[in-house]
Amino acid sequence: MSWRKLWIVAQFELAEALRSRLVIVILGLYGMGAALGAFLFTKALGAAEDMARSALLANMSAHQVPDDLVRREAVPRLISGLVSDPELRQELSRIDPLALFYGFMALQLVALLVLVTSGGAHATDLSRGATRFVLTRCDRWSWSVGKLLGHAGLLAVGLTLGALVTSLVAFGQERGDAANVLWLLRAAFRAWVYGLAYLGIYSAIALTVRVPGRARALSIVALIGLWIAYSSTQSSWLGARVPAVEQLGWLFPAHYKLLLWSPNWLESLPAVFALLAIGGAAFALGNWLFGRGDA
Amino acid sequence: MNVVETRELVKRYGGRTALDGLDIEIPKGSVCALIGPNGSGKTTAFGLLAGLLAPGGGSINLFGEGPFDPRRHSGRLSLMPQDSLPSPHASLRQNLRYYAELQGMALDAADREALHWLGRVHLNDRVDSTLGQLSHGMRRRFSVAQAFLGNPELILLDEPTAGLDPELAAEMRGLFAERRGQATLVISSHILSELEGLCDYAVFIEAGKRVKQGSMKSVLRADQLVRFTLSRKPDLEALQAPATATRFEWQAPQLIVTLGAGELLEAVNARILRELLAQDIGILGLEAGQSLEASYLATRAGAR
Repeated sequence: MSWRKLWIVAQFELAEALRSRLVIVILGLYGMGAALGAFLFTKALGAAEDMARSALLANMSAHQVPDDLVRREAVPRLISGLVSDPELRQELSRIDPLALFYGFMALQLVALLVLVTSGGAHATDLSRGATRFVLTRCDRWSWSVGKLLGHAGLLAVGLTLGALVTSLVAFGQERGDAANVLWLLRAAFRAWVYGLAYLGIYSAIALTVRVPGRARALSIVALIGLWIAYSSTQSSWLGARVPAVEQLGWLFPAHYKLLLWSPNWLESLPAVFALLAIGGAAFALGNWLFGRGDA
Repeated sequence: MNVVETRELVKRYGGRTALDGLDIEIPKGSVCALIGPNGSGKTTAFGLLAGLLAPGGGSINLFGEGPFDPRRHSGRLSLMPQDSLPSPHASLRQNLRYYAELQGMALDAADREALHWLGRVHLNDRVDSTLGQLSHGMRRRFSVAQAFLGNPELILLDEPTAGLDPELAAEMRGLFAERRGQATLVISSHILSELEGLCDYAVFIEAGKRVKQGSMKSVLRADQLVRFTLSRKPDLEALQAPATATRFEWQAPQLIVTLGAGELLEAVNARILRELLAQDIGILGLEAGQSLEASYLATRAGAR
């Protein structure tokens, strides 16, 4: 593998993806979705704060209820509807609520976003013959990894755009500050890492199947299949009948979603490595199959 | 020295055999015609030489260094594929610059090289167009341009002039002829008259096997056969009169003269010309060897 060629391919692929009108429309819709979601969330948060303020007013006079106290009370109320684990709820309450919301939505949607923007990308080049112009000038690994990195870059652009749009909404709602922007970018980074696992899986499918329509269809099947399989490993019914089935959960990206939430880098780092390992292993397998066959 | 050598090369797609023990040798610096019917394995042979396809058996030797290896051969071999499309959203210039960079050129040099070759194939007014904005012929010319980027040593051209108008096809042939001696070109085409004038080496393949190869002169039997185009049929008995091994055949309006073993072309020509003039026959043309088409058809018939 040549690092120089890998870098050239990655740059070209990112530029090529950004030149695609379809990708721009998808990223635009994603940005608009982030803006709308953030707006609605800040409204909901405002309502939760009003409720918290009313509850606190019962014990204090109006001028004694500071805003940060109201927020400290409101956020756990909001999170309690989403997370049952009290320890995690406590940890999450330390994160800015808007970043929490953006991170939550990004994590939920990133696998789908990757599927739409990058699913079948390698197969498209192989089926239209674009690789025949490239693979006499570049080895297969440099091409496939370069293309993967280009799409990883595209995903980073999309998630950062979403985070920045959400920040703008926060500033518009007078909730924005530098710390808030930093939290949003951290949330975007975590969603990106989570998305990389799926990018590796989808790319492996595309390199193996080599027909774009079939590769996308199989990627959808893989997305649903992974979700069903992971849910099965967490099922108490199955856990009671099949020993150690719960331990198999670590093979699935969804297992690391909650670990990624931790505000402590050292705690979320193993999840980052595990997700990269899952995506990397799937991609390496796809590449190995691709290397043995026709281009 | 041979730039390309294959031995017992086999390629199967499922149950179908595309190449069935192909043995070919192509000398360095030659312009080689790769000729065969549809489905004979020409495109598969190109794919195998360029490392795009995995062989099912046999060996490939490029530049005397073994099969295609991107680390050693990147930029030294190029392929103009038949029905392939480059990236759709990048302009022609961006696509070619990308390929040139992959061949090892710095960005500025790659850009200059891209513009140079786009100019050579008359696409200099379309450098910023994308593929979707081009006609079929323009796409072929783009494909030719990418194959010549960086002056590779071995250029594989699969049907390079298909779909081009006669003027542009002639220009492309001129472009290929310019590289004679500097690079080895392997050209697959069904337009045999085009290959006859352009190539100095030929390989015929049939059902995935080589049925003939050699210099164009030997393939056309240029030192064994003469074709006279005449105003009317001559008296063949009068021509045959002296006891020689020369054979005469009338294929109106041509007299096909096949030399016997040891006969010299110049001596036979002089004798026939005298006899034809004596018979008061107008000589409209004279060509050494058979046509490539005739050679190909005869070879095919022999192979069956």
